[in-house]
Amino acid sequence: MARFVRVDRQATLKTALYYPAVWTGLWITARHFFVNMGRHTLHAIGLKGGKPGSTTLQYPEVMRPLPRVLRSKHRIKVHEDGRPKCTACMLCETACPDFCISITPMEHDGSPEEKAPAEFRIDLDRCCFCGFCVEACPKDAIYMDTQIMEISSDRRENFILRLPELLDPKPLICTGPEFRGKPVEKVLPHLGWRNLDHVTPVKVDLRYREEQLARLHAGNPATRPAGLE
Amino acid sequence: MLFEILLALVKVVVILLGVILPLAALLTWAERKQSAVMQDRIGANRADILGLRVWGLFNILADGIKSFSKEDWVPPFANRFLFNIAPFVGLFAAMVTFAVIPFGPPLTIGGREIALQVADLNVGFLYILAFGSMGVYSVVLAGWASNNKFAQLGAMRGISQMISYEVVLGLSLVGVVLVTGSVRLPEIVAAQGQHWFGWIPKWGVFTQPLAFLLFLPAAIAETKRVPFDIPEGESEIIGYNLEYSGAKFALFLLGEFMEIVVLGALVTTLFFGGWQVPWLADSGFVFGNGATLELAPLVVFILRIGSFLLKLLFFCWLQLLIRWTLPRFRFDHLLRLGWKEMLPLALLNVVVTAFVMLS
Repeated sequence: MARFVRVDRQATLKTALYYPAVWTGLWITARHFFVNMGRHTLHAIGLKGGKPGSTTLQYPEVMRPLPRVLRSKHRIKVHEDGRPKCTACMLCETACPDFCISITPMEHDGSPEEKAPAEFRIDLDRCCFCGFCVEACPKDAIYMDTQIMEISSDRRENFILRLPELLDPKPLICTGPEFRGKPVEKVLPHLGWRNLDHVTPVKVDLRYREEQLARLHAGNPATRPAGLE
Repeated sequence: MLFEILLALVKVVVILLGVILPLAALLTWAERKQSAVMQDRIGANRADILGLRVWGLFNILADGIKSFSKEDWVPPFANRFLFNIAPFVGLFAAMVTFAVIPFGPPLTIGGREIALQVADLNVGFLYILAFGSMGVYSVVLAGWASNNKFAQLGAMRGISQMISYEVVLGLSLVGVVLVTGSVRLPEIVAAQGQHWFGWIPKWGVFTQPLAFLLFLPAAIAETKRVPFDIPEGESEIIGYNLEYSGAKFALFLLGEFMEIVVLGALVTTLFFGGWQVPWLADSGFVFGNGATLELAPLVVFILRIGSFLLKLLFFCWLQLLIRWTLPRFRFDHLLRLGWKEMLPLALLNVVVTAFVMLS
């Protein structure tokens, strides 16, 4: 049912004169300017206390804290003896709305399940990160909790995840442990992050991040399909 | 005669290369940084030389190199000649206006009095208005020569806006001229050095408050900046400089930033006492209660130059603040404000001032 809201747009004296309303607006922005400049100045002369002068996180150096429930790049969990938990039951492939998973099963005599994936391909170009594969998996094998979201490359083949990559346990990339010299837990509340339950301050491994990017951009011979290029 | 010409050249070089160009370049940086600070951001800080970032100051350099190394593209359907000169017209108008601004008291060196002003014209006031309105040609030529419907529409919006506000601009200054009794800018500044009761300086903003309140928005409308950026409308509607790219587009931007500097200088000169410092006479401070503070002539001179630059910087800052605070006017609102609200007020101001001056 439509509801009509009457908005009285009649100009008051204050808005009709323009200047009072304009000064109110200018006062707000000028106040922000001077407060922030004061904070920046305090930081510049070495006083580390007080709130930061901006809410910016300098992204490549400091990453925004990611919630634990974020659906990121896939991985496949392994048993303690190193074999993948995946039994190639094809449920994820069936559940996938984008048809981006393709599994080639094989017999595996050494395991109780007697079945394992010979090949497990995820085409990240197609993936919409819906997480249905994770929901569908009866063996708790596929997960999307790597917190890796910087997935970029100039080659299509780099977006195809294979079994070795899926199995390779990488450290979580998350936020840096500190923000301008202060522990990130102290700063985040000022940036609007009231609930820190979902924040995992993990030490950021910049070298690892660089390697990761370099690998994505250079193209990995192991993942490059034969016949291309 | 030769000496005079050389002196004028030196002044041009000093003012142009020493004040306007650095300030305009700095303003491109300041606009990004100031808006960032106002919005709790950090702003451009990535351009570095050997790892040195200096608060992003090298972004000025990076911007310049980038825009000037781009292809100088002229659309095949454009009028080549007019298309090429349009940005220079705007730049020229902005630069030339600065010639009549007195940015300091006359300097006496070796018995020879040197006015700190490139050209002390008897019609300085008219000169400002004349060259201020030349800026509209830049918009007209750019829009027309682009031979593009959208650019032309932008230019048309620009013309109607700038012509409307030029009327208010001129009329609001008439009050100042009536009060100070001169159209020569050094005399207008000198007249603002007096005080009421020894305390309140007779600055234009105090003698002509209404004129100031009308002049500032009209002048911002002349510089085509937010909230009057309808000719350009860079955020959604597209404007007269649609077909421009690379160096010529950068020249439009540079012209705009120079207009900010010129406008700051004009407001300072006409309404805020120019180089005058309150209570500072040639011999030193003279306060209303008779107290005096003797200062060396050099100190007085430096204080006055500093006062001019400080006021200039403040008004540049204020314009950036306004630009990043207020939303754009709708076009009919803009014209209604100009013709039906500001123009009658400006006329009223002239009439009332004239009567007060007569009686």
